[in-house]
Amino acid sequence: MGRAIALIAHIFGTLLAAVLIYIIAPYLSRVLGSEVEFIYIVFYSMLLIWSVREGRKIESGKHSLANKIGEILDRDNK
Amino acid sequence: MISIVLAALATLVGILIYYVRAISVLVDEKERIEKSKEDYERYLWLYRISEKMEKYWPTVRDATPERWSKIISNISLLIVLSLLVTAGIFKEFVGSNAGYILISILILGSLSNGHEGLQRYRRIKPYLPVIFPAVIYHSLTMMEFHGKEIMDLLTLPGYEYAETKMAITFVAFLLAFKLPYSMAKFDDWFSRFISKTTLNFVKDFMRLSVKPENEVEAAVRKTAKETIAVTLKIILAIVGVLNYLSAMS
Repeated sequence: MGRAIALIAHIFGTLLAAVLIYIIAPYLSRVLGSEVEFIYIVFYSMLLIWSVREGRKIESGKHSLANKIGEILDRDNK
Repeated sequence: MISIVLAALATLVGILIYYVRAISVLVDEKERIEKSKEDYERYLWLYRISEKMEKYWPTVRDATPERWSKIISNISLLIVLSLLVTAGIFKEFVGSNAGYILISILILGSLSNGHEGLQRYRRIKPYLPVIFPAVIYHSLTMMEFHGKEIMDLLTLPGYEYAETKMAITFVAFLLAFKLPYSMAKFDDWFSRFISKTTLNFVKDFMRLSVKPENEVEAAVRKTAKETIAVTLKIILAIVGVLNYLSAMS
């Protein structure tokens, strides 16, 4: 149960970060002086790497925060 | 200019050899030398230095390589920042000494905080294949060339400038898997090596001017006197070789 909740939260967070990058990228491109597409490629690929790594960590039960959610839920159900 | 600096360095090392060979005997025989006032005043300045060293000895004795490497890395960071600022302000100075500035920044940059550099590398490792080529592509895009000759120098023969840019970015993508690890490893080794050797040198140097408390300290002190004299003589020989090379060129 805890793992599923953590995964849903993770996907929601990833979407939120994607929206944030979409909003921030034009300003960043103005500061750095490069094209917007370049910023999109770099940041979205970094977000993808982070998201996949973190998701796999949650799935295999190595993520400490996700495990904590599971423990709290088990304690409440007893 | 270089020969004057080297001569000053050699004089300093010579004075240090004199100090190292004299001070341990003087500290051991202090009570007997004190009886004759004339001789005591002869070595008064050496005794004053040894008193200062005795004051700071406990802090040096308890220093660990980890803490010392932290201090060294902070100092080297400050020096690198000041070098970058000077490079920004005095542009004509950079033009004539660019090689020296680059090498000193490289060496000082390797004096990271030992183990922490490797940990930081492990944290950003998965993102390096994106960051490494992106930085290079971005910096190549930012370059502005005013002469056609420079463009010709930078492009690969038989290719356009844009194609060269893409090729370099691809090479950077391949290097991102192998190069940063060896850099972090070298950082780790180099900073640990520097902090250990300097700390051992300073400890040996300070030990000579402090009276030993037990048998172990006395034995270590006896060894330190010999090793430090030999080390200083080797430094003197290196200075001589450098002086010869600078005179030849």
